[in-house]
Amino acid sequence: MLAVNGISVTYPDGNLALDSVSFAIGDNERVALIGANGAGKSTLLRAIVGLLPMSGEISVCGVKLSKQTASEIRKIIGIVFQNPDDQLFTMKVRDDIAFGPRNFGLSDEEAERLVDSALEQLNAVHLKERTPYKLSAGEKRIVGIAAILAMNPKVLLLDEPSSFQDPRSRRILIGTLRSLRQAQLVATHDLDLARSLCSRVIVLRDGRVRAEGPTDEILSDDGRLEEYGL
Amino acid sequence: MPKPDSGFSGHIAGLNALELCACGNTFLHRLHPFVKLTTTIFYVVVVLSFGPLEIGRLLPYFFYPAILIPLSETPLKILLKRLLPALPFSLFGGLSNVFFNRAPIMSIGGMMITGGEISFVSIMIKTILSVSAILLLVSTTGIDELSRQLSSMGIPNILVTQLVITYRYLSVLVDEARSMFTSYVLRSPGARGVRAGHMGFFVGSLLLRSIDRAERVYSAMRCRGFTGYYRPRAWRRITFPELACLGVVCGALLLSRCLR
Repeated sequence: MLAVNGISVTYPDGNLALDSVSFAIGDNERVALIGANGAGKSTLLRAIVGLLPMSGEISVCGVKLSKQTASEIRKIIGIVFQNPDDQLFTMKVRDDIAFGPRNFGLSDEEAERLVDSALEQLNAVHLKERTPYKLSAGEKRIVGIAAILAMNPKVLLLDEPSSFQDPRSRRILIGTLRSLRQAQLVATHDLDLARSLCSRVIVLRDGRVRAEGPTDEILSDDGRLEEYGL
Repeated sequence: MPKPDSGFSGHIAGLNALELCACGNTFLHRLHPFVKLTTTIFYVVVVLSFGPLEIGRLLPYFFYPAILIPLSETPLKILLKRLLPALPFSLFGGLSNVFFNRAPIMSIGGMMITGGEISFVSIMIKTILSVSAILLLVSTTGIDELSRQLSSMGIPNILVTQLVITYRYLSVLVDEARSMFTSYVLRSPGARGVRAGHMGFFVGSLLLRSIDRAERVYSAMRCRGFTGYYRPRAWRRITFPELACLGVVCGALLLSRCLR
């Protein structure tokens, strides 16, 4: 589904943010990308959707990422940003969710149908006519996910989905993410979230993959977690 | 110590308040944007078309905001807050008339009134009326629907997109300024606002932070297929009663302009 081969990202100040990172994610698989602050998790997610210049190769559903295919890749991969306020910018939830489908050329009727479908999938139909500014952090997160689901992506990238969430919103979020059929790459330093959501874990540190394996195995080794800055 | 949500912070928070009014559900909110936009343009053109000495003929036009404010349920306080920043421009522009046009026009109770003084009042009245009309349009329509309407009226998409993005950037700026100001006053006991000596770094940081934030918002938009052109939702077709309403209001405005 998603294959990342030897990608490296260097920031303009010369900082090597990612160094030859490689991994793959299969259909319907949920994988946690864990690491301390500054490990390169967000950079990796942004590189996968072509927001950052990089070397290496990324392919999704057989489509290789390039300048020409970036738009196509963004139809296949949906990214939910860490701060929902960066994602929601219209005055009505329905318009925000319809923003992606409209940009991809769907008619208003089709976009509206996708808005309804995404909100129903997340049990959030009651938010449709609300103003994003006035939603709680948990509701904003759900709307942010709905905005991505409305584009019918095959892969979901989630950047720190549990940030800004109170315990109840967090539980709802985990239930929601578990119910989705898309393959998911969840960047987080919330180890409990990784444990309850993902079957596999990739550990990043200083821009490099330091470990990869079943969640229980990786997260039960306190010594290694300490070594990775977790 | 000022409360973080008062003063400067409260003022910038008020910038979003008018657009939040656009989420209402009154008759005016439901009216087709074409009717509202056309009526507003018509009203502003009529108001501005009066000569500098025709104050008496301008006064009846106060009926327009007087009727629309309660109909749209727009809080007067919010409207006045947004109106005030526009006044100094007219104030300074109009004051020059007071100094340069000293020709007496009439006398009231023995006091001579000059042409400059009358035209100054006329400029202020025109500003109040036209800015109120535009604010009422925004408070009942919202930027998304306005942009939609501008697009459908043939305004080039690049200009409409510029308008929407600029407006959005304003929200980003407001959010960043609010959080910076809160953080500032909580660590500045006794300060009534940002001290003059701190204003440089405050504004500089605000610029850098808001550029950074705008970059993140733009990235999120690109990930959802944004390529530089805003594609608003198409509106329903305008109905006959709405067209009739437009005709009646514009007709009344035209008639009032032509009457002597």
